[in-house]
Amino acid sequence: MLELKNVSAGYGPLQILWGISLKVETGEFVSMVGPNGAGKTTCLKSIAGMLDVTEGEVIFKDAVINKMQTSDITSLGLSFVTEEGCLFTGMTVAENLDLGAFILSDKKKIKELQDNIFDLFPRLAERKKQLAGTLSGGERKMLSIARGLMSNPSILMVDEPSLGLAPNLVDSVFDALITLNKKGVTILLVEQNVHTTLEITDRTYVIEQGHICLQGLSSEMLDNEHVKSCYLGIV
Amino acid sequence: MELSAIGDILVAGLLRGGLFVLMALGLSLIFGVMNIPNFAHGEFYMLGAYFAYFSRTLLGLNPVLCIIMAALGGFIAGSIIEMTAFKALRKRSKGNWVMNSFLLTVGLSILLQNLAQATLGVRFMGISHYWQGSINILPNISVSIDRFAGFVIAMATVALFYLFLHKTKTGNSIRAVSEDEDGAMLVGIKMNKVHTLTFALGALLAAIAGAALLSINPAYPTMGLAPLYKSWFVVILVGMGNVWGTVIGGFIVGIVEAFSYYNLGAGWQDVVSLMVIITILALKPSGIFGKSVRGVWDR
Repeated sequence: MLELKNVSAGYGPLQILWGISLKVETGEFVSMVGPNGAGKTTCLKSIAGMLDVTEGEVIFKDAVINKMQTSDITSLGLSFVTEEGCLFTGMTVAENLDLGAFILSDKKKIKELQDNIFDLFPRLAERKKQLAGTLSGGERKMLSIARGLMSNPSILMVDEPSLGLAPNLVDSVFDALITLNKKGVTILLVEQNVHTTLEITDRTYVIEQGHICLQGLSSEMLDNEHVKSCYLGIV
Repeated sequence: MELSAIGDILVAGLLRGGLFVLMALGLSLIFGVMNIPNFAHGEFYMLGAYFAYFSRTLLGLNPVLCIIMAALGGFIAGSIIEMTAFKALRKRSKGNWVMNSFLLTVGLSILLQNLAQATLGVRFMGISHYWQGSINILPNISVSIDRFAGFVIAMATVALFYLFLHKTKTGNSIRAVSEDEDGAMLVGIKMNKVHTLTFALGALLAAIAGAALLSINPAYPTMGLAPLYKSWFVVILVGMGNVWGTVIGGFIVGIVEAFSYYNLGAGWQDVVSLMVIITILALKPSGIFGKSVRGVWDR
């Protein structure tokens, strides 16, 4: 569904990604882990069209998307939930969700998506009329994921959903992602919470200094010596 | 001060303020969504006045149609200018957008003033009235129907505009861009479209103000300067991006001016309103209702 072929990207003269290649198939739950500054977020941003890809190709549903505008990529069915959430803080939860469905026009479909989301995050249903800026950190994460889902995407990219959340909230966010994947949503997850991530995902890419240094089944990664010593703290 | 004088001042202030509100709303919208400090805003007021004048004198339309023509004209002029000037600037200007776009608006202002002067001349082009006569809005206070109608038109436009921003999908997408640009792009909102529409709507609001006041202020090339400064007063006073704040701010500036006009004379009205603004900015730099301030040097 999504494929990166030798993608290089960066900020101005500063190159961050050095020839990244990866693949996400339909229905998979894939994660990308690595230390701070390795290029995980940069990678997601260049897929979503928020950064120029200097070399290589990003292919989504058989189309080359690395020259496209972010809004057009979203219309193709790729949804990116950023680390900051990028919520419309001065608007209500309901308005945020409505805008999440901006590319859809079928009212019935939108209603159905919203009902599903309220099943997944009952908290948001309670706070429908509240301004997004008044939500707690966990609720904001939920809302940003929920907004990402309102466009009925074929792939959801989530950047560090656990960042800055209390442990019990981290669990509920991960549970939500697992449920979504079981319902058939393809997910590409970036996380620093390596142990949990490896337990819940199908496949994992380890990215260090802008290169993919390891890849494989998440279950196998848990036994990998490098992963164990560098990320799991097991010697 | 006598009670009747207070009534006079309030009525005069509200009538003036209503049109400041219209101007300031467009200014605030354009800055909030596009981050452009628009110093060519007065020129859309001027265009609106000319559009209304020619609709009235050449086409002989009725007053309401004249104002609608001016609104359409302002909208079209705004979209053309956005698509030619600002779209091109957006492609080239990487850093310091606020400063660059500010300079572009100043250039546009000079260009439009001189174009008007070259093609239409410097003569005042006004009409004696849209609607003849006057009405008593309070016992002992009578105002010309034109002034009163201008106020009603301004308030109706503000109400429609508010409903548009809050109740329609397009309006919501404009607010979304002013809230968070990245978020707006990520949900699939097309920036170019929103930018063009926003600038055109701002121009439309200014054009309505210019058209509504035609019988009081005739059209001439540099007529936009005074309302431009007045609307900046309002926006600086209340802060950016708040419709209700702008409405209240417009009335405050209107009433302050009417008060100083009545008590100190016409020459003092700008002095007094500027003093009020300086005081408020000294105490609360983001304006009465403003959130955080985005500086000229930020990006």
